[in-house]
Amino acid sequence: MRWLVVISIIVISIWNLSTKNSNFHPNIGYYFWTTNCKIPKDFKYIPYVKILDVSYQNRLNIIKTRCSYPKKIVPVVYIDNFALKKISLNHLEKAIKSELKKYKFKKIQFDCDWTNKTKTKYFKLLNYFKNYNVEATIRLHQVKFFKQTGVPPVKKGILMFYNMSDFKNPDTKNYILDLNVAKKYLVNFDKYPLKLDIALPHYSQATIIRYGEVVGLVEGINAKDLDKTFEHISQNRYRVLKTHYFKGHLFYKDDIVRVDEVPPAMIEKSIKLLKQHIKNRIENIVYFRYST
Amino acid sequence: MKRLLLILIFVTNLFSCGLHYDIYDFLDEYFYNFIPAKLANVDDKNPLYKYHFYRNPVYEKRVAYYAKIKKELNLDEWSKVLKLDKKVVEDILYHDKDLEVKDNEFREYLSFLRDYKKAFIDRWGFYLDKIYVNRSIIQEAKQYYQKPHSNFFKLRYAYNLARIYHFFGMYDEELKLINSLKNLKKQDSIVWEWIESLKAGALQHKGDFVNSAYLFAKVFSTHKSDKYLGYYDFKIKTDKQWQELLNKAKNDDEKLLFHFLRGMQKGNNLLSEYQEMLKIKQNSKWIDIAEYMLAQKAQYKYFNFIENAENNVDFDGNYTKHPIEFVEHFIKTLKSKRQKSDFDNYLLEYMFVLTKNNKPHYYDKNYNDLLNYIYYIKNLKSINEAEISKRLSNIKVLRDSAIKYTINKLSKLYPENSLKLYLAIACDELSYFDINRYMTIKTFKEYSALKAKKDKNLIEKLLLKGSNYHIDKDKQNLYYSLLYTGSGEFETALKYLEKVPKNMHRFGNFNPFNVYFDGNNYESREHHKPYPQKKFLETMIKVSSKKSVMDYFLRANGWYNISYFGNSPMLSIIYRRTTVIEKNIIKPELFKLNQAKKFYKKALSMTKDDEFKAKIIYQLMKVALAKSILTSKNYFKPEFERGEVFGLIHDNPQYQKLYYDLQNYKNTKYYQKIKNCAGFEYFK
Repeated sequence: MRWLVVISIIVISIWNLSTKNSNFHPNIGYYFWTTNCKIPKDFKYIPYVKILDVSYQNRLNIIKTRCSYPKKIVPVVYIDNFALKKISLNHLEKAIKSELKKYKFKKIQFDCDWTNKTKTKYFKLLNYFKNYNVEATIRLHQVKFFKQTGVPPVKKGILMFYNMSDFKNPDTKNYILDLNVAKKYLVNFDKYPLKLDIALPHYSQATIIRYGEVVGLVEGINAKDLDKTFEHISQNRYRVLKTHYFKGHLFYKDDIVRVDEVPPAMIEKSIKLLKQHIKNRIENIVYFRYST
Repeated sequence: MKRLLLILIFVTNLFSCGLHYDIYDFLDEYFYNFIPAKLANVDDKNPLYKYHFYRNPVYEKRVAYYAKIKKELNLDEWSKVLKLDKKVVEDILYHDKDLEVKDNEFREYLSFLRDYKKAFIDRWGFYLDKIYVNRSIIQEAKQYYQKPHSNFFKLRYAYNLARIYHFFGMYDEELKLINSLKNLKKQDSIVWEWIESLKAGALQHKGDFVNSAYLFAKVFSTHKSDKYLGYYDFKIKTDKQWQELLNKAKNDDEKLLFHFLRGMQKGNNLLSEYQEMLKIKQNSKWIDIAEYMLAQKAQYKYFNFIENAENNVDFDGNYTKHPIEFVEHFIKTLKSKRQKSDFDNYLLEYMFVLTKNNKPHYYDKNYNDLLNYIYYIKNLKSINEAEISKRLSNIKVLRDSAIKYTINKLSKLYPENSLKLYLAIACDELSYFDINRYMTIKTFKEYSALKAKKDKNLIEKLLLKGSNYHIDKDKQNLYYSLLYTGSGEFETALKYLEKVPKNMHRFGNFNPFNVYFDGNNYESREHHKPYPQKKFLETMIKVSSKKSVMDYFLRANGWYNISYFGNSPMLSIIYRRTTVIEKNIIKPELFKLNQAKKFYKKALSMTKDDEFKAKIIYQLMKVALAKSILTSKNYFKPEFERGEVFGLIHDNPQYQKLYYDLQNYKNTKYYQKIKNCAGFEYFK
């Protein structure tokens, strides 16, 4: 039930914002990012379901989500750059369209952190779906440097307002959301040609620092999950006291674990900040991600 | 940092910020590696034991390495059983050649293989995802397997069927099939290795991590053809599973193997596992291998972070606050070993050379010579080629690495703008450095002399060989003609150009003696007409001997237009980089601009025509602005935003004075044409 409490706090916060500004009544959605997607029957928000995960890690992986939800969803297709380089567009189009047949939807969303090398192919793929109502995820740097990174040929973008810090820097304070870092990227929104909605974080994770270097990340870890084998050393940092497995991951003695979490107040501040920069009316706020 | 700034930026980029991150996978492919695999009894050709970066190509190269071994062993087996030439078997099995096959069983198996390949491989030769594979292949494989066969073919069909089950996630059926094959066990075949690996994977999918890991460890330690599967797929998820696995070990060496494999998994800590391994046993094959891997990493950390990296960021963009921390922990652990092997002692001496600058003392002469040489090169402050050559020629072990290390060091010590500096940088295998961009008349002459030198020392031979720099006579003459043009020796330039085949002559895009309103003197499209290099030289020679106002004006235009900022720069330089103004061009380009200024001033002092005066002053303003751009310390780039131009004008009193001089000719037609020039807005 913990997630429900968090949702309630956030929704109340947004409602508060809405009442202060009568024009602000965004729809609320949640990303469902696991292969086994279980959407509660009485789910009140819009489910954005990752229906396909196309990646290339040693081999091509096309992972389909098992989801039997009778109502409308927003299907999301995630593609990584390695896969985009390897796979033919026809192959990809066929895989996506065959998956889409399984769902009821009004719009679809693509998620790809395209690079200069994959941009042309990715944008071409998006054009294959121009008869659909297509949205694409947009990273902050893709707005700031949009002349260099390009603007995807879609009707709308959804700005991912998380994972904005430097993951590999051991001094990063909070990899998920750091408003001081975010402010550096809030540039060129007045010139950005796409309408934007926003995606905000609703998750936690642990970053592992070893011999002064960031060596890994474990998702789904909260500070209160940590037991006596983790010694609190400063704000959100802990030292591992003995080598052991924790939530399926191996932690080594003397590893430093930084737990990144996002309190509701920070979400509220983020929305205020984004409202100041995004020129269109924000119609949808989608939280990454739903977890039980 | 004290020499050719941009060359060094280029070189340090290669080491620090992953500029070319696509091109390297294994460290020793491009760098020096002073960890002797021989002392650790490790096969240094095996890519599983090379320090690497976590990238897809690493996995692919490892798979390719074992695919080759697998193919060889497979062909040996087929050719032995069928009594056929290996080449024939290869053509049939691997190249799908339609050759005559007399053996009925083989013919039938080939027929099945055709269906099998058709089901799984698309028309581009890629393996398909299971969503695209027709499941009827399961039934077909089952039928083939159930028919009576000789043991050899029975096992082959069994493997194919198990693989199909595995592909479709039918792990129960797969394990049942594999367990039923015991009666075929007597048959010695490479296929058993593949079946065992499939079984390990199936157990893992079924959640039996302990038995799966045990089997994968066996795959890694005993298999010849698919060892990498054990390396990559060894997985344990809980403390309980790990303890059970350790309890399953038949001896201490197996425990060491488990620790090693666990340490090699992405994100895990091999050094910590190695420390645990030492608690079990002090010397073992697995300890040597772990040490070999750790030493490569320590070496990389040292050279990358300490010697080359800026801001403590490595190739993969990893930061480290304490770059030497890992190395220090490694040394501490090595020192703590109670029974030290020769390899341990060598590593300690080597690490102390790197981190403490200790003079090495190792009992083996060859390795001691190597360590002393590393110490010598590491501490080299000035270059004595004869001495380096003498020492390097005595190195008997890891010589290639010694050469790479030497050249890398020399590329930091040769004087700026010297041929040898360029050659040393070009020797770097990671470098795309194009020497021609930096060549001058002086270095071209040095290059010819070095090539012709009879008694080249070892370093000179290595520089010429390693850099692969070669330029033919025609190109050299062309380059001489361009460089002599840039230095104003037009007759000499023409002499060289006449030796160059006409099809290699350069052409400007516009008339280099004309000037227009824009800074580059790019005329409108209709004026765009190729202008021959030869004609430019002949005209410059002609006007140089005359002294009229127009001659001085044309001379000045010619100089401006062959500068970086004019309309025909390619008539006086070998290469023009448009994205950045490189530091080495500043001096020659300033010379051209100063020549232009000198002759504009001469023309200005001689003319009495106000229209002409306005035009000349405007050209002088262009020269002044171009000089500002060249010498501006903040901007090494050719294109400027308006605000940046204003900044340059603000700091340029000469430009400002010329602007106010120009105001005296406000009534001229020429001024009326240029009055809206962007730079003039600064004065409003």
